[in-house]
Amino acid sequence: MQNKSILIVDDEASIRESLQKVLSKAGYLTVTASSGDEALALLSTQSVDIVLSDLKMPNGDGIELLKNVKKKFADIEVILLTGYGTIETAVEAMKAGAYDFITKPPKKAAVLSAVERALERQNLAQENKYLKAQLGKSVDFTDMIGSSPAFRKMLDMIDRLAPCFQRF
Amino acid sequence: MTIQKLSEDMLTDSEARLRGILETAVDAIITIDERGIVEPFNPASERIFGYAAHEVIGRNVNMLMPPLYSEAHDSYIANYLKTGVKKIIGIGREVIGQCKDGSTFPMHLSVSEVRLGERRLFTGIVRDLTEQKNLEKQVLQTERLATIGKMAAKVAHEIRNPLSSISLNAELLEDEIGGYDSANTAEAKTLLKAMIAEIDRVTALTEEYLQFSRLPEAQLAKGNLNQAIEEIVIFLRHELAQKKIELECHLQNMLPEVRFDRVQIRRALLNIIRNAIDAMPKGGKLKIETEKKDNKAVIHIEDTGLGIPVDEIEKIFEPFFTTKDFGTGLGLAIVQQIVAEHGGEIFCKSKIGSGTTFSIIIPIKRGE
Repeated sequence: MQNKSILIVDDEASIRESLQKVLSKAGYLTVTASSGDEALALLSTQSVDIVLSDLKMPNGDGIELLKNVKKKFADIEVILLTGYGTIETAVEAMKAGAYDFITKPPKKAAVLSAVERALERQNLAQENKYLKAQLGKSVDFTDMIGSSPAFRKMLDMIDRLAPCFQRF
Repeated sequence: MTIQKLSEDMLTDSEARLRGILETAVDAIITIDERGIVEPFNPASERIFGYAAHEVIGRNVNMLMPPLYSEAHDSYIANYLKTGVKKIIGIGREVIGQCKDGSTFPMHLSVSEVRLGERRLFTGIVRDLTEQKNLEKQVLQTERLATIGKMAAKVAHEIRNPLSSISLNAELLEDEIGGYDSANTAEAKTLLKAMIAEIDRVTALTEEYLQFSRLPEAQLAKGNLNQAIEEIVIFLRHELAQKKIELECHLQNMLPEVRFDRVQIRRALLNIIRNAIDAMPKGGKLKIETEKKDNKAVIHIEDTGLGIPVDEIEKIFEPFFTTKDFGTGLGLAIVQQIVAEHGGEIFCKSKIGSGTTFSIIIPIKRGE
């Protein structure tokens, strides 16, 4: 969790500050923004792992920010905070790509566990991407020594089977 | 044809027409003489007031009014005959009528005066306003609930924001103190725990306000009400046993399926049952019954609790009315809203000291 950075977006300073304290005490780097626009501006200059944003803000709501973040910075996971968790808003948020959904007033444990899980998923996604890239590098057997039909047949089989192992 | 015969024919003709009007009119048409004695009493009058014509004809019309009005009625006629000042004739007004069974209802009364030689007759046309009044009341209630809902949502929302930082800060403070274990921090820790518990309570209150204001439209699906009740009963069995409440279930086997929202009906029943549990602090008996009545499915929930005083029973469905120390007063308002969403009705009967019965009526749609 060290060095992971979290952007907190809420129009209310007191909530930003409390969340910041909770997260920095847990060892995260934090930055804050008071609106969706400010958050987007910040993201273009600073690298952030997770965005924790209020759903309803006077200037542009959290869903809009979520969509923008997902469009421009697909790797960043977004967690939304909401005054009231209706199924409708939750579904809308999840569809738009939110990782999680916390209702206000949030409990410290809920915030921390949501952030941890989001980071875990991010980790897995990155690992997955890396492994795929590794497997994608084509291995060429033409330089391989040995020309017996049996050996060539085995090489061919390896070539064909390789993609099946990508999913592991 | 003689002139006499012609005029006789015309009279019969006009009488027949008049009778036709009297007999088929939707409104009650009642004629009285100067003393208030009823002469004709048409079929609509019989239907509205519940009396047969022969029970009323020849008697004073004030038998169709509640005592307060009937006493004044004789003096109205006398006053009009003396002064000629019209209070109701040709104007019409809303008054209260009384049926044979003693029940009263709002009605619109218009009176016209007919002079037959020396005699003066008064014809009253009565329109039953019960349905119209109920409709008006319903519209008013819906508007009221909508306003209250909006306000509740606004308040709850506004509270949840500051509550967020209060709650997080309290937890941070708890961590902070947690690091210093000494006799000095023991009291601080207790105080903080109390604060956090109260924060949780306010959160739960705002939750209920928001639920009330944003009760989603019922998602009706055909299903078995008995099954839904059994699920709740299983869910509550432990709690009931703990509170020494005996449970008795009579679920009618052949109860037809109805269209209902499982989640919402579950919530409505839970609210009523929780109230029943609260009403029986020393234990008692909870009876849940279902039955098919006319084309409706009825659920009765009966407790042997404290009962609701007469003056409170009218208010129990009003939002924010509560007699509990920690209630929001929204429980039964939510129940009523849910039942209304199902096109149903809810009734409450209660007797101090012997208990309360709630009856939820849900229509069984034709062909189901």
